[in-house]
Amino acid sequence: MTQLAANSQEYYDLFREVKSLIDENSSNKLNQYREEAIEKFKSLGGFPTTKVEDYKYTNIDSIFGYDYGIDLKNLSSKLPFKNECDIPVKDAYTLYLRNGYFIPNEDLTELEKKGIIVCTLQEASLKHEDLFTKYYNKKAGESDHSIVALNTAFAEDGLFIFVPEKTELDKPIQLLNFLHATSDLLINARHLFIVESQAKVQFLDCTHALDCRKFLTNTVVELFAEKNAKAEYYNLQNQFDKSTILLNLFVGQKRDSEVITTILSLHAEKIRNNVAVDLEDENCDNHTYGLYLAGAKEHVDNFTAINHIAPHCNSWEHFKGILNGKATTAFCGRIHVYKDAQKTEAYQTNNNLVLSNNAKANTKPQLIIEADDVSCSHGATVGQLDEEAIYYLQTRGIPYNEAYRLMMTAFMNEVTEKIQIPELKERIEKLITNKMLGKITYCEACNNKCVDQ
Amino acid sequence: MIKITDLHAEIDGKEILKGLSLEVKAGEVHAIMGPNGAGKSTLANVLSGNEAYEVTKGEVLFEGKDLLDLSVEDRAKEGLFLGFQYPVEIPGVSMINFLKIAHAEHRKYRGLEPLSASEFLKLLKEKKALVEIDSKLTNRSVNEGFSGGEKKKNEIFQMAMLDPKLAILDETDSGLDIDALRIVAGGVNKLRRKDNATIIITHYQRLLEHIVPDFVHVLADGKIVKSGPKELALELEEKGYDWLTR
Ligand SMILES: Nc1ncnc2c1ncn2[C@@H]1O[C@H](COP(=O)(O)OP(=O)(O)OP(=O)(O)O)[C@@H](O)[C@H]1O
Ligand SMILES: [Mg+2]
Repeated sequence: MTQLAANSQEYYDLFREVKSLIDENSSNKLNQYREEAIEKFKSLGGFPTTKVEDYKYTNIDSIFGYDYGIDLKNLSSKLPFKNECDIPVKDAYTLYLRNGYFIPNEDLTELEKKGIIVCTLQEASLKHEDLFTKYYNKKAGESDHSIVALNTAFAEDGLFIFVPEKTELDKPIQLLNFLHATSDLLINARHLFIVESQAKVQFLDCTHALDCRKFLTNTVVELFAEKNAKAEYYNLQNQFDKSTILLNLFVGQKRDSEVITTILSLHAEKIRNNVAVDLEDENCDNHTYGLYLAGAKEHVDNFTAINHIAPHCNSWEHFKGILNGKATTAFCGRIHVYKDAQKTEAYQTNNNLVLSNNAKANTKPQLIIEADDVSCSHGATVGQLDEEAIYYLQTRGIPYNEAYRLMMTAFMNEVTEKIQIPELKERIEKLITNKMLGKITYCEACNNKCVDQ
Repeated sequence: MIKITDLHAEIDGKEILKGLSLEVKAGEVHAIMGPNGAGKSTLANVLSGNEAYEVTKGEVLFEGKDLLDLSVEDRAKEGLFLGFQYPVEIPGVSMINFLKIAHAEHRKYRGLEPLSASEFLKLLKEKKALVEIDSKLTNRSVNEGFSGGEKKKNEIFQMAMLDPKLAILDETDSGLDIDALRIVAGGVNKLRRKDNATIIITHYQRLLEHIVPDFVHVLADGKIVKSGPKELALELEEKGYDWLTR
């Protein structure tokens, strides 16, 4: 084994130093995964630099080179805000988290009445040990992204949601995660969502940064859809200039299930999303969508892997981005059709609208097809604003700004129209417009007074 | 209505309009004919304010106002309408939404509130009937996937919705089948009033049998080289443009 580079070694050593503290703050069950995870982190070579092909556009090593503190014990269970924060969806079951730690509130009882289990991961590992053992780290543990292993090593707690068989939720479950700290902070958030057979649920995951601190969130979400389940997961990434967001989303689908995931990347200094979908049984439908708006020096990197393991599954993947300023974005879409996955239909599209000469969009499809009877397609575009169309709209009396707004909304439409929560859709469209017009997009009602530099 | 005097315009440094003058009064229909590349579409675009073109000389008065001083959208709201030779497809922008916004902008300019949803739908229905346009089209994105003829019909439909003072129709007849031509011409005729005017750019005298012009002009090499009564169109059809440009 070769030596780890400096930043990786530092985290490896840090783990050794604080392991007993982490163990103390967590549950035995969760602690059982740490040792293997940190060694995996090491064997994967630690944090990737841009020399690693899959991280060509995002230097994780340099991200972790910054001196973040880590939140080893979630001391305060109080929420650091009044509840009038900018909630994207009013009519929802709202769950509050602080720095990735779940803080139970009243909405819980309503959910519990429906038989839904909502608790901390620690509690789940004790009270619902079977479920926990069956699902925890099942997908993440297989990942060869070292930041996922790092998360498993460090995560003390997180959110656990179990939606039992045949349970259909009338409203979305909304997670409001507030980042609150007096110093720059690394957060290893960890969530596990299980949607049992024939159950139906929508998750909306939002994180707000409340303080003008540099936050690095390294989140792992595992979402399991059992037979005939229907799950939607929306992740709203709308923080501010000093935030770095690393999201590792794992989806496991069983027979006849349908999953829609949509990642909405609106505001952060750097974003890297790793999405991995396993279609393990026949007849699954998967929709993996993403929308990114990057201006100034923002960076957004979406790395996706759709694995067609079983036959007769369909996947639709569509990522759309608008770039301005000196923004850089990357999209890498891997579709892997395994040998047995006959009659696969897999579609992938990535469209980029580049508004400035200094912005750069990178896009790379990657098809690995081992079965012969499949229908796959991929397409990528990098284009500019259609000035002809704007002119056409203007000749009908529509002012330039309004025409521009219409064009942006239209461009995003193919992704936004797939958002099944009307309030969220409306809000996203407004946020897009605001951002395009150079206004702030982050929570206005929260006491975030951070001014972008 | 509109008075164009000694208009010079260029694109990418190349002069296309070379001293064009034309006056159109309220209630009149003028036809502009002329060889390919003469500058007909250029004239239409310069009048509606396309920034790709630079006006280097001349003056345009629209209802007494300096037209060249206005933004593209304000020209539209002052009552100028351009029916495009090549209507632009705008995927993702629905026809209805587009028309609603455009209509509301026109009303706002005149200090009026937008129409209520039901009033708007009533207007839409009425104008749709006028150009016999299918609801299937108005439910789609602007011009997206429309056939050539459908696009042209859609231009007249928009004109009907926005009720301009001066409409410039750039080859609205090309690509139309016989029925569509009749419908489009019928639409234009129905919209004709004493207080509005139309400039029709066309290559075919055929259209002018349906929409009878008061004047016919020949635009060649960036200038109006000949003007005459409607019979001029027939003569052009017979003789071509050579005898005028030699
Ligand atoms: N971007 C450009 N750069 C240089 N020349 C241009 C440009 N755009 C148009 N032109 C030229 O301007 C001239 C006038 O074009 P215009 O479209 O006005 O002609 P037209 O009279 O409408 O012709 P048609 O009957 O074919 O529609 C043509 O010679 C055309 O090639
Ligand atoms: Mg032309």
